[in-house]
Amino acid sequence: MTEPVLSLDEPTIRVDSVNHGYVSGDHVLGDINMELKAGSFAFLTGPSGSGKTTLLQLLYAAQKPRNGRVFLFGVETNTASRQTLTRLRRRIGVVYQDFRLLNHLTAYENAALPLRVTGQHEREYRDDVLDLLNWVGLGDRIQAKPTTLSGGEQQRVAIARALVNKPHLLIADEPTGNVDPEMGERLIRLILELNRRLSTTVLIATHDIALVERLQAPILRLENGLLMHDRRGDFSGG
Amino acid sequence: MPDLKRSPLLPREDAREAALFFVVAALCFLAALTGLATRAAYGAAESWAGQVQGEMTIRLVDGGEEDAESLARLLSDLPGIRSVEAEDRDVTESLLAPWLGTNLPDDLPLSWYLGVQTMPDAANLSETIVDTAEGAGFQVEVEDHQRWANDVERSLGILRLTGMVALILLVTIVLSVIAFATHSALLARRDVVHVLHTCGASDRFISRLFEHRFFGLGLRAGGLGALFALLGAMLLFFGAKQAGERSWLLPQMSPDIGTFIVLVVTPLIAAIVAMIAARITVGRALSELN
Repeated sequence: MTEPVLSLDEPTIRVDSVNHGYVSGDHVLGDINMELKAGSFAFLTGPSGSGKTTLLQLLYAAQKPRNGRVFLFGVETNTASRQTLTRLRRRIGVVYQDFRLLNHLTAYENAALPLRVTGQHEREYRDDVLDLLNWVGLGDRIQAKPTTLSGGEQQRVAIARALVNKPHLLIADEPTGNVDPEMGERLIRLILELNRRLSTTVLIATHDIALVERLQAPILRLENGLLMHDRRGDFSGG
Repeated sequence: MPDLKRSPLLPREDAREAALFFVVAALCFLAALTGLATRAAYGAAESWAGQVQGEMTIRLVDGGEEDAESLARLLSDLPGIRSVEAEDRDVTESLLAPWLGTNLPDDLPLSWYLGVQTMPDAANLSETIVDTAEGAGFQVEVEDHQRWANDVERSLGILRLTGMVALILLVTIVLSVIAFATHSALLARRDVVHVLHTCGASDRFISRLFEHRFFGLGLRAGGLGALFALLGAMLLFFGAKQAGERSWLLPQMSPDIGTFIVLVVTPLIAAIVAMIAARITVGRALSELN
């Protein structure tokens, strides 16, 4: 069987009638329909427990929907092979709420991880990783282990790791939750720059209403597992 | 330009892996020791069989010392005979002591006995000896120890079987425990599996990391266990050698190719089992992820 082609002409994300719940039967998401075009930028908001993290997990292929279909770069995640899902993941940068850094690696090594696991030689990416760490303000902390970094610094390493392979899709779960407002602003500007210069599709889950209002970007709002669409901007919902 | 040391993607060994190292080393010690003991018992068994099967006793029914020595010379030239020696009267008396007691009168007529050492592949020597002796005018009875040889062979069969069953049981236990211990140690590394997976590492890449780690651990621990087994076996067998003149009955250590194979194969098997257990465990962990 031929592997599906990951297409940049297709919407980066398409979600069709997704219902998702736990094995226990509790529903987290109900009848979600949405589409994010390539190069778009959107926020995902909603109160705690509304299903934001679950929706994000479906969108970065960490889970498969129990009902309905999720397409990433035109590939349906439910039917894609493991190799295809691995290829998809290499085009997606994810910033987790809890950072998920490896404590035995330095900040530099954590940031370089997505490049290292694809077999690239260090000499090929070394300068890019150092530039990125300098940019997020960790130029003097590259040799530090995560356990010696503050929460904000760990967040910045996690963001550097998500951006290091210039992903086509960036998904961030509360990326500014652990940094001061000034650094939060810088990080968001970095993400915006990535969105504009490289046409990276960006979806950011956040509670930071001020940030959402300041950037005037489209908003997807989740409430009790249902998606409410703010139809501004270049994404569409059903 | 900063000096950027490249760390291994898996964390260094922690307490769980140290415990696994100890378990594998201890089990390999037991397995290698059992292997060496079984091999040594096999060697001893061969030696016992050789001792019994390579000997014959000839009774000269009628004749004196000179006749016995003359017969010994005659039989020494037969094919399949290594040596023939006429036993002196003291030996004969000691053989008869259980029935006739000690301090027999010097004028009591006793049969002369000849001890015969035969070649391992000699066949039908009894008949040849009787024919040759009778041809020269001697009347003889030949005891080829066949009854003893059969008993010894039977006992050796039981010894070999017991040794082999013990070895197979122990190896099975060793394999199961190593697999289980590896599985337990790996469960603690699921966070690393998860991060590597979401960073775009392929299943094969992640699996190989753990396979290499646990193969190395199994090899080092198994090697240490086998080394201690060698030392233990040397102490045991050389200690047994001091047991006295019957020490040939005890298992013997011989630094031959068999010993070498036991010592090399034990850690290799431990390493391969640990590696396969790692592959299966990581495979399962990955299959739970999308």
